[in-house]
Amino acid sequence: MAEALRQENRLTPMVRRRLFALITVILVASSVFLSWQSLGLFENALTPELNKKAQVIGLNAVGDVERAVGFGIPFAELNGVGNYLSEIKKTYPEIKYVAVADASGNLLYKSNDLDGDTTAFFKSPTALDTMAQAGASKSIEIEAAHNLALPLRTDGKAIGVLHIGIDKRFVQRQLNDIFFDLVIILIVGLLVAIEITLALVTFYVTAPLERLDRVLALYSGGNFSKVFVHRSRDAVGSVAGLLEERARRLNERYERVAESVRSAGGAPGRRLEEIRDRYGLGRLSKYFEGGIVDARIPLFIFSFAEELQKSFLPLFVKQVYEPVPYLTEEVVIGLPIAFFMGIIALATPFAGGWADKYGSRKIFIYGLIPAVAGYIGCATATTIYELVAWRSATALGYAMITISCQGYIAAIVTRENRAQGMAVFVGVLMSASMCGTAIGGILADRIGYRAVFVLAALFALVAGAIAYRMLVADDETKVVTSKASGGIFKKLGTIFKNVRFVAIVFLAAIPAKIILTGFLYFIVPLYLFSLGSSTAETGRIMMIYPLIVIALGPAASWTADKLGSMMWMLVVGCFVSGIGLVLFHDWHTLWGVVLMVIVMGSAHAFTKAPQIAFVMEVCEQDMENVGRTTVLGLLRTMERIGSVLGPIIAATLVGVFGYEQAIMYMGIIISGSAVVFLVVFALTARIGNVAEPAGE
Amino acid sequence: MNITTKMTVYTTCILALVLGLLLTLNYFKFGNILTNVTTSRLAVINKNLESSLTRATNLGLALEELQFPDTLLKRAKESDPAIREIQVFDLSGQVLFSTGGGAAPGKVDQDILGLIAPVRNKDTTEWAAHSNEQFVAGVTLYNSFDRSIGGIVLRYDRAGYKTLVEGVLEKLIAVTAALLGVAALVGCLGISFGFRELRHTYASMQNALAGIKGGGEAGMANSAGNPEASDFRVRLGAATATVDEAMNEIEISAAAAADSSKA
Repeated sequence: MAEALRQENRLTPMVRRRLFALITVILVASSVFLSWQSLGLFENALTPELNKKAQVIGLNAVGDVERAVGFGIPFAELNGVGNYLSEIKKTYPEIKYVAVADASGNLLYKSNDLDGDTTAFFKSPTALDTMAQAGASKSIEIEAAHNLALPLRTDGKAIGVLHIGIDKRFVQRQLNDIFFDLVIILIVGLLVAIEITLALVTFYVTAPLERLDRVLALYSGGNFSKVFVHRSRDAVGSVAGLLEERARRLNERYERVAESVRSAGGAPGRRLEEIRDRYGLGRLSKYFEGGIVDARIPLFIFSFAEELQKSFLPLFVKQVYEPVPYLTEEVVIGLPIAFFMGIIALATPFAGGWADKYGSRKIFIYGLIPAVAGYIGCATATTIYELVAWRSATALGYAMITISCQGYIAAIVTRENRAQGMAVFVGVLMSASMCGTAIGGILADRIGYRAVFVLAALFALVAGAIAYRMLVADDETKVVTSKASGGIFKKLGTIFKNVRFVAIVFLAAIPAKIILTGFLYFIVPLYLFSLGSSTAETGRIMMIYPLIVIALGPAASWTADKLGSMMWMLVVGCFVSGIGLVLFHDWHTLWGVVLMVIVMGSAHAFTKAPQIAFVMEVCEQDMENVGRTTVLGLLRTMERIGSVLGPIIAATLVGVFGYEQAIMYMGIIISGSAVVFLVVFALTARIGNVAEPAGE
Repeated sequence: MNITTKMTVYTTCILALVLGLLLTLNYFKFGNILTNVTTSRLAVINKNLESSLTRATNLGLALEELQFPDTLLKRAKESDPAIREIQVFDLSGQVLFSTGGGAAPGKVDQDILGLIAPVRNKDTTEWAAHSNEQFVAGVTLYNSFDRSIGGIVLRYDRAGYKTLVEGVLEKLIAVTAALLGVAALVGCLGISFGFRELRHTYASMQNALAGIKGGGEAGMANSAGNPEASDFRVRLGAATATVDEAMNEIEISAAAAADSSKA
């Protein structure tokens, strides 16, 4: 029966695959077209604006030259004009050259060496025509640059032309920056579409079909203890309605007969009891079946709301900054983030326990209270103390909501699709982080920091409403009853007696976070800056990591579920993530960093979800004793230790050895921990094998 | 609503949502970029003024004693008709030179001070802010001992900016709307052709249901020649037959119970 219940309707994968492919193709095509059109519109609108800037620069130079000539100095004998023009060129990076030519187009002064074509252009009728138009400037595109020609006059008579060359590559670079921003927006759009498509199709099309299939199987097998309630006007709704009506009528009839027998003074009778047991009558309840995807949309929207502030929080803190005794400005600015992280780390194990006890949906909804209060509080905060307090409140809500979703998914998944379930959790958090951070920055520029917090509160409420609708009732998710007595600390202590759990935490989970925060978040920006990369380039390179994790996540979880050996995935993934750093540390180029990030991202894509699934496998007994979500909460908290240690270790290594060596040593530490991890598991496996027969 | 229509509506909604999101973000992005380009142009004007004034104050002249700033400011203002006003002020906020047009002569406008207060907290000599009506760009003036002696503030009309941004928005909306129409059409066609099996399954369910409700013959006629419909009808029939069987057993049991109670 269980197998029949788990059997997937053959249509559902087809519907998901095709609809996903259809929407992806249409969206990619239309988004690329829209982005291309936008880029064209931007170029058309911005080029004249950039020209105007060059004109302002040129007009100032024209004024200075005309003033000098006005003092009676012959135009061809002005002193220091070349240096003056060089100074202008140096001040504005978009300027390729500044030159002054006489009325015949002969070059008199220049900021730097010019090629023959450019000097020949100065003599062309097109360039000389500039002098004919009173006070007007002329923008002409030549081989070397966008040339802006401004006439020079004295006493109303044209004496020459000042040429400013705007670097074509500068305009292109500006457009390239815009292009990359548009690509990020495009990716964000696609991620949002993927999330919504998967949730909508599953919730409204494929899941009802599957549930109907399973209820049909139940009824055919003679089990009428459940009714599938599905109010829709389509075929599934009609069939479900018929089955529901028949099952209810049957149960009611049984109840009536049993009641009449009872009222006649007798027991329901052996035959009637047999009927009840055989057909599961007398305890009718709704057929509930949660899916991994139920938590997807609420978790995505809430995490998205939370990530909106990420790009500007330090700037916002700076706005409300006030001196705090004994603390430097930098430390004070870091306080809201530090408190946020600290509260999450502390609250997660407790929140996990609550989710086990009261159910995931309830904890999600309750978690909204501190989260939304925190957002509104941040929007109205005027002091650093208020900001710290409200961010802490949000952290409590964040801890409750994320762990409740993780617990929910853990409750829904089977042993066979654990990695897949956890990949959904990790992927949603990653997608939301990317989307939230990118959109938050754009929104903050437009509507202000405080308004973004209000928006985050609204999104959080929307997430709550959807969670209430999509997550199945709490009775269905609080399936694990805690057997261990005592408080949370006693329970956590019990888990730490599991050597394998400890090994995963200290030799895989914490090292993964150390390399993430230490290398990617700490070393990469500083190292790239030392290599001469711009902030935008650094941002793009850092964005490669979440993109790879999101893109490879489903493939990784599929591999894990098929392979069955998550331990090996963890070992290999952890080892490879460090090896990338060792291999490319001495390239001294941007591409070396890109390769390191790609290798690390790919390795982490293959370890993130399997790691959680592996903990569930290793802690099967502990989860039964102390609660499933409590174990997962402890794992998340322990990971935070790695997040804190990462920058400290990286900074120490950089301070002692410099960037390249520090990167190499970090790689060695991480890969080394993978080797130790393997040894620990090999040893504990032997102990387990020896212990088992003895136990028997 | 049949399944094809339902899925077309979902697809169109998702497309509209994502394209709308892209449109909004592109529009915001363009607004931000144009703001940066405009304020950087204003910064050039301010920088030019600042270097002229600083050259003079470095010679030892007090800011308020300078003779030429009025001409300098006038010329800068004339370089762009959208410049509303340029003011040079001292440390107390007292306006020393101005191109005119300020609401309260003597002091820098309160609304401008309000705008620039947050940005002046930053450790920068140049700053820019904007309200709905104007861009305000400024620069701090320093003497040769690197001590602040005042500043320049330039107010710039945002009307031109708004026209440009709105023009881009209108074009973006037109492109997005056309794109959504085409995308929805492609989606509709894709669903019609790509999800025939799903449609057949739903039709089979309806047929099977009609068969169960209307009696054997109607159902047989509907599902004839359609193996999927037949299969679903068999499964649904099996389920309802089990219900009937159970009901029958209950009735028999009820009758037996009634007999035994009479006896």
